[in-house]
Amino acid sequence: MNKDDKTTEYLKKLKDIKLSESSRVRIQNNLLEYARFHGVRVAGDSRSIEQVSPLSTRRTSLFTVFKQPKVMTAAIIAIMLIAGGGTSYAAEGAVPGDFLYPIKVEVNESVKSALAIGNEAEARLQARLAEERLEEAEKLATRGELTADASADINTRLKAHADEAEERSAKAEANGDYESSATVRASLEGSFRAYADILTDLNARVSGNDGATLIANVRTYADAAATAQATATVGVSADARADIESTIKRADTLLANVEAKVARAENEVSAEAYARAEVKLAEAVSAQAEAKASFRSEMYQAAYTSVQAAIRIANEVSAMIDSMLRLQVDVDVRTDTVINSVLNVRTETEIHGDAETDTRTETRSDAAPDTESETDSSVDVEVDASADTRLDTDVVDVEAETDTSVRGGLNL
Amino acid sequence: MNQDTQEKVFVESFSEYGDAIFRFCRLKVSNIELAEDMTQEVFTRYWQYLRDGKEMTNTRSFLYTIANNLAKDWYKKKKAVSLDDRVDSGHLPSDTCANPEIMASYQEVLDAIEDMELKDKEVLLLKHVEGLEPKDIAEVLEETANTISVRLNRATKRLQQKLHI
Repeated sequence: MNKDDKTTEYLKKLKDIKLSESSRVRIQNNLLEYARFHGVRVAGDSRSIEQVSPLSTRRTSLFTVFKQPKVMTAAIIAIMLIAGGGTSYAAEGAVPGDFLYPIKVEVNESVKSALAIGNEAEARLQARLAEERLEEAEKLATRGELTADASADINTRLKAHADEAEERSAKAEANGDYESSATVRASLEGSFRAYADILTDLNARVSGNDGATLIANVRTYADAAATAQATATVGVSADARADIESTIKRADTLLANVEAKVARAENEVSAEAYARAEVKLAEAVSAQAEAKASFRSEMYQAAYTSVQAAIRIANEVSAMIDSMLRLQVDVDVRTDTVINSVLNVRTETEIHGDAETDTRTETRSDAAPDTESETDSSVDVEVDASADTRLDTDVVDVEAETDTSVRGGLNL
Repeated sequence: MNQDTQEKVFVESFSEYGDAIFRFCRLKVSNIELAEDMTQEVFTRYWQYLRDGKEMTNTRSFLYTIANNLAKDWYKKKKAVSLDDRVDSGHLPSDTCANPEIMASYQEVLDAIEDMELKDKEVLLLKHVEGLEPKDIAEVLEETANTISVRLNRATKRLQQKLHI
């Protein structure tokens, strides 16, 4: 490295100086507020758009200001801030039917959406909001309040989130942003599948629930996400390769987090439930190892498919664990029974050849091994075949994790 | 250009350049809070252009130029204030970086360049950290590209000597 490169490298440390998260949000909110109250001027007119309303030709009236939905939202937010930010915070835990639920979905989530700038951020936000709706359904189901009405309400919102997420993923894919499209679709599918099973169990167990239609729909959305993943074809351009590589890296982080989560849950759940979560996790680790191997062999399509499988399964495990921990606190249900039935439902679905199974098989057929026995062999192959130094290290890590960390978790 | 489109451009620019402008301001005023206020002010002025539907050919340079002018104003005002009222060097806010290693690492760089001339520091930052070309730096700092190249060259050498690179 020459002197100038060394200097640059040294000074680059300064790049870590960034606005703190709290300051960033505060400044952004101030700026948006400023921009809204000093609206865009109409061409050839020095007055702002609020001022050209036919109702008030010369000055801004409160009425015209409030006619704009965004200003209205801003006003509601302002009122809430004055009344106390607690309202908005308290609304976060609301479920359909609660007094604060409209604040949660109309105000809090509009704010989140306003802050999620760009296609990728919005896609991820929509996937997260979909998961939020599923959590609400779970909460209602544990109380036996997942009625037909509540299910229909959740379904409408869920579908809107799923559609928006897919639309944005498709857009990302069309733009060559494979990382976003893959991670969003795979995590959506994982959450949908996990929650479909959790809800099926609760729906049957707790009386008063009527969520069958919602559950069927959730499975349909999972299949749709799976089909979208299976039909996605990636190019072999340098950009596409870089994207797949960063998707694999993202999956590494996700896997590490989920492994840590499973490890932390060890003492909270039954030994059997824990073992089952481990098996599922090993499946994800194996798919990830496949993805790395395929990537190294320049089989990018296969790598793309496998890494999506890894993300999906990891998300499924994550949602399962979260739900198990919540259920343990919320209701008097034995979590091992819940998780057992969750996993049994899954196994049945995988064995019986319905539409869902077909899609799943298609998604995985190229590269992602599905059973425990394949896990070991595929990882062995990885290590033997390794040639590239950088990827080697990753693969060896994966192998080590399959044996040790799946039991003990990563030391995070 | 409608409000929504311009707002989107506005917020996107803040997401993209907010940190870089903050770094620049931070270097100029050595105080976190003031640098944050300046950053906000830079973008507020930028909105004045956007709301008029003005086209921006180089948003980044434009933002740096505003920041540079704001800093000049600040120095003018600062000179009028007595030395005792001088603003302290700001501490890094605790939530900027939870990782003490990273914090220590950039604090070390900041310390190393602390006694360098501001003129040197700003060209080093804009070139090596933000990746601006001398001609862009020249535009921001209202100098000729040649002056900037010379200054950059000297500043780099000075830093290298200091660090024994």
